[in-house]
Amino acid sequence: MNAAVPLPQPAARPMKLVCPAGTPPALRIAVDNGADDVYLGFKDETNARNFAGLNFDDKSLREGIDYAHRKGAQVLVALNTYPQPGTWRKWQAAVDRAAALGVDAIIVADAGLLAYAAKTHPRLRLHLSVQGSATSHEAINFYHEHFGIRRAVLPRVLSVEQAEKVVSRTPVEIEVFGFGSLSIMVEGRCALSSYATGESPNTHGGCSPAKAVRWQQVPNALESRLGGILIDRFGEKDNPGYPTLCRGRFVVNGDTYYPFEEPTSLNTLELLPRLQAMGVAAIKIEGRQRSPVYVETVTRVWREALDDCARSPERFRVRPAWQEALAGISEGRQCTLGAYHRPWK
Amino acid sequence: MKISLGPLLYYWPRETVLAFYRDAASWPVDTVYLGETVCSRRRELKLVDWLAIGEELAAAGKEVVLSTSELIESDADLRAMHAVAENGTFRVEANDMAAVRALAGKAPFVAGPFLNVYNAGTLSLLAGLGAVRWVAPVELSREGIADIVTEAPEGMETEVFAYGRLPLAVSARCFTARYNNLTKDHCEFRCIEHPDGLALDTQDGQHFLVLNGVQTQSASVHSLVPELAQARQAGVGVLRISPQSQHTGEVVSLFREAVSGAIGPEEATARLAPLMPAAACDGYWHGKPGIVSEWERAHARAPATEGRP
Amino acid sequence: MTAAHAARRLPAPLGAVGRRLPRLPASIAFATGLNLTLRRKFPADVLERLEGHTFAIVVEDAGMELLFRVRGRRFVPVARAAEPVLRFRAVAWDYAALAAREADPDTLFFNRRLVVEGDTEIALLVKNTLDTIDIPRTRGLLRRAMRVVDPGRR
Repeated sequence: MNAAVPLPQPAARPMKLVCPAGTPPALRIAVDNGADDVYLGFKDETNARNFAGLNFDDKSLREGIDYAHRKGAQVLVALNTYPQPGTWRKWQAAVDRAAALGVDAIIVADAGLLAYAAKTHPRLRLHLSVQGSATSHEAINFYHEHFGIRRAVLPRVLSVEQAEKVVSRTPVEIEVFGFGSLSIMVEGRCALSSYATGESPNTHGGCSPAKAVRWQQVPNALESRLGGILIDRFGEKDNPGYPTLCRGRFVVNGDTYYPFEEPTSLNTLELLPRLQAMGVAAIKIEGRQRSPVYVETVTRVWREALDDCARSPERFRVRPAWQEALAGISEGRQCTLGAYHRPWK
Repeated sequence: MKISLGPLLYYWPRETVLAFYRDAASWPVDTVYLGETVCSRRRELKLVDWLAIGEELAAAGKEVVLSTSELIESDADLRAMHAVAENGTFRVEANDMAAVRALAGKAPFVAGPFLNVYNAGTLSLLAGLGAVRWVAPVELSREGIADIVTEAPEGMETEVFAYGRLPLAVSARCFTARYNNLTKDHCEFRCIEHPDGLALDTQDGQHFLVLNGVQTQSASVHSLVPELAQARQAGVGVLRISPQSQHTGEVVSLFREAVSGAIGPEEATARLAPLMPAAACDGYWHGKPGIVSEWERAHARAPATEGRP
Repeated sequence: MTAAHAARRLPAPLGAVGRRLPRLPASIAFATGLNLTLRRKFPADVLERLEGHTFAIVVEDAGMELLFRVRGRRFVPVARAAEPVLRFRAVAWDYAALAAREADPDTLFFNRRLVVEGDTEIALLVKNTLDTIDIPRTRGLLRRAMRVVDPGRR
């Protein structure tokens, strides 16, 4: 090889598509429609979508891993809540189960649990969950240096420029959110749900636990309440959103409005060429609590978009049919770039 | 038990802040946490000002700790964090893992409430990196804290958020700017108009939250003043009092009296009430929703029985 | 928005007929259908959780309310219930689309085409359980039937 000739700049690598699976049918549909990675959780509070009827036991996970591997997809298990006092063994056992079943990686938020996994299962690939709230390359590198994490999911707080800097300064693969329910607060740093209900993502693996949610028809309106707190009142023409406090309509100095955010979804399709060029490794789709129909629609659209983008980023155009399909399954039927777009802040 | 003054979470004019800490030098607190932890756009005081305040408080016999920001986004935020972490004079409270990395193996530090220490495994990891004190996340119950304390490394000090509006969430978005139809980058520093935050009510009139720029707090004031014996039993070593615009010194003195045993829980609670900007809550401590007041629930019928022969 | 967002309703006369029909026979037919297609697929712990509860499915454009209870791990029709634990309201087409996995329940909910009243936790359990169940043959039939009614569908 002639060292004097500069090597051509390697083309940016195609980004992986990481899709949610709350149920076995969703896993198969995600794989069939072109997901590179599927992420899921066990049926307990070791993951942040701990909802009744959702998630996987050992048998369905084993079958899911088989199915995904046969079709060339990988399975990531989210163990992304914080082990609570006195229940450490449960999380530890969940790590061991995931390792024994041969998952391709686990997604972890708690530093103590990462330390355990790194020590006990040195060959198990570790991803840092978005719930770990690592918003800078220095925070991500901390987890890399101590636990050898291979990928980190960026909290939905950085602008594109800030995310680009993070990617360029860490050896860790960076995964960013592409589509789905928009987190308004920094992930792993929000206790609004437990303030109203006693349970939050950090402590119980879920925001707005269903047992605390009440939908009630009152004259001329549909009310949603969480732990008795009135989140919103929807008139006949309003579209209801998820019953989370950060989507609520409240009163500040006599003004009734959405002080945090309207019911809306994150959609970063238009940023794909830029994300690919800056070296983002993977795009995550939110929605383990959503139906197989949702998973099918999102996976199909994002597969096509990522393929288009990988083929010729400079000619990439967001197809109207994609936007229409995504708008049809979005909360509030509208989309935003969220923090990627600075003025959102 | 020691008493600490948590970092000032609101945005006050420079003179107000200086006066506040001048007064604090004579309050019966053991430790004072200093620095801007909420929003990097708040610049009434620079690091040199905080260091100067720290010198005065240290001269008055206080332990001074500088707190790092609870959310780091930009290069400027990282530089500010390093400036705090490497200040060379005062101990540092780390509020994210970038700060822990900057301090690990270099200086003993305080593991702040935003590090999400929910179990003894994470605590011993941080202890190995130099943490000598940890501040429990606000969500942790007495029982949970006691559990962690039993397994905590030798010499680890435990601090709890004992008084004030609870910092519940942080966002990249500024809600005070949003209220004013402004973006964060052009926020006109409106937080300065709300020395105790901007009140948010539900549509049926319940006082619920307080907007404090990028931070969201509880409207109710979390108070452990009736729970000091239980806190001591659980292994709590430091009680954190969060500054508010009025009566902070009186609150501190009241806690001191209650800690010393000079006054009981009933009297302390009764005397605290007029010093608080809103109703009290204590649910998290009891493993309940943070908004509830178990104390009030348990004592709701007490006044009716008083004065009976 | 597109046609996909507009509710497809049964012709009004059909609804008028539906309102005059006795409720029980329809509920019997429906519960029987549930027992045939879904019962065995429902995890035992889920059926246990639903045991004793009554559910109402209102087919708005057919003027029909189907009522059934879970008893002895079977779906049994009931004539009337004081307060069902859950009441669903939607038009026939949307129910068919949900059953055929051609529509997303959250989307129908956001668009107020699916109204759910009652115990949210049980609603979520039912929704998530239905999402885990594979009934490809029934779904295939439903999808074909829907295409006959509306050939324009994908």
